[in-house]
Amino acid sequence: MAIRVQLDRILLERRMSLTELADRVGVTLANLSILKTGKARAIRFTTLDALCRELNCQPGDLLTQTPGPQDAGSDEDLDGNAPGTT
Amino acid sequence: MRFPKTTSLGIRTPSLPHLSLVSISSVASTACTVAFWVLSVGAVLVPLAVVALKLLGWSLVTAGSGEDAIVIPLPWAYVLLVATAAFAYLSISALIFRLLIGIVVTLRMGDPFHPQNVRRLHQIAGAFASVTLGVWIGQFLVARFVRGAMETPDLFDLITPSFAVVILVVIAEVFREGARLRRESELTI
Repeated sequence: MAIRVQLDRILLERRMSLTELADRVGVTLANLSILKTGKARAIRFTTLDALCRELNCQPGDLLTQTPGPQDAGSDEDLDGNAPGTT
Repeated sequence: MRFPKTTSLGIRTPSLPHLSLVSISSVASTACTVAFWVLSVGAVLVPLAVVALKLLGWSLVTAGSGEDAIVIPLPWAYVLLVATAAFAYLSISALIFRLLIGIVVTLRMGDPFHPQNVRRLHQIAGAFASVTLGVWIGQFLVARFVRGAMETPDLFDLITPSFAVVILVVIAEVFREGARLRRESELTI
């Protein structure tokens, strides 16, 4: 995915933990981890709005676009196998 | 993606009574479970029956009735062939229902587009195709080598089952797309 979520950097700057942010935003820690590690496919405007509100930043601070080839496919194939397995 | 509008044919169909998804899936689950156990028990009983025949020493059968009846040795080759065919038919049919139970379980959990359902539907299509083809080949061989037993089956008899297999494969691909959308939805924060 060419869009990167700069959650690590902003959490460090605001001296906030992922758990605390999850509680404030109302998103589960698991989902925030998915967002942080770049595995998310999409983000709702309501979530983005809540993140920007709690982190006191703009969407452009959170999201950056990296030019280059797109990542191929999703994390697992649609037969339920993990990547690298058949 | 925009789909072309289709014109109405002007046919009005009567409205059917609304059945909740829970009631349909409950009935389907019960029916599939009953069918699975009946077929499984039948499949187990077939080899047991053959073993019982052997142990009881049944080696003669009476062909015909009345004064024309004759006693002939039990044709064990035919018995084993029929038993193997019956066992294969019952086992594969039980497998189909077992796979259907797996699909219905995910439906009752509210997660029908589980990725494993794609694999299950492909397996059902494969099992259905093998049962149909196996029965056809069996009937063909019996008609060919046992004179007067039955008529030779027609190739046209395979058309309707072939449609069913194709429909199952198409539905499996629909479920694959559904699984992809499910995954996208899971990864939407």
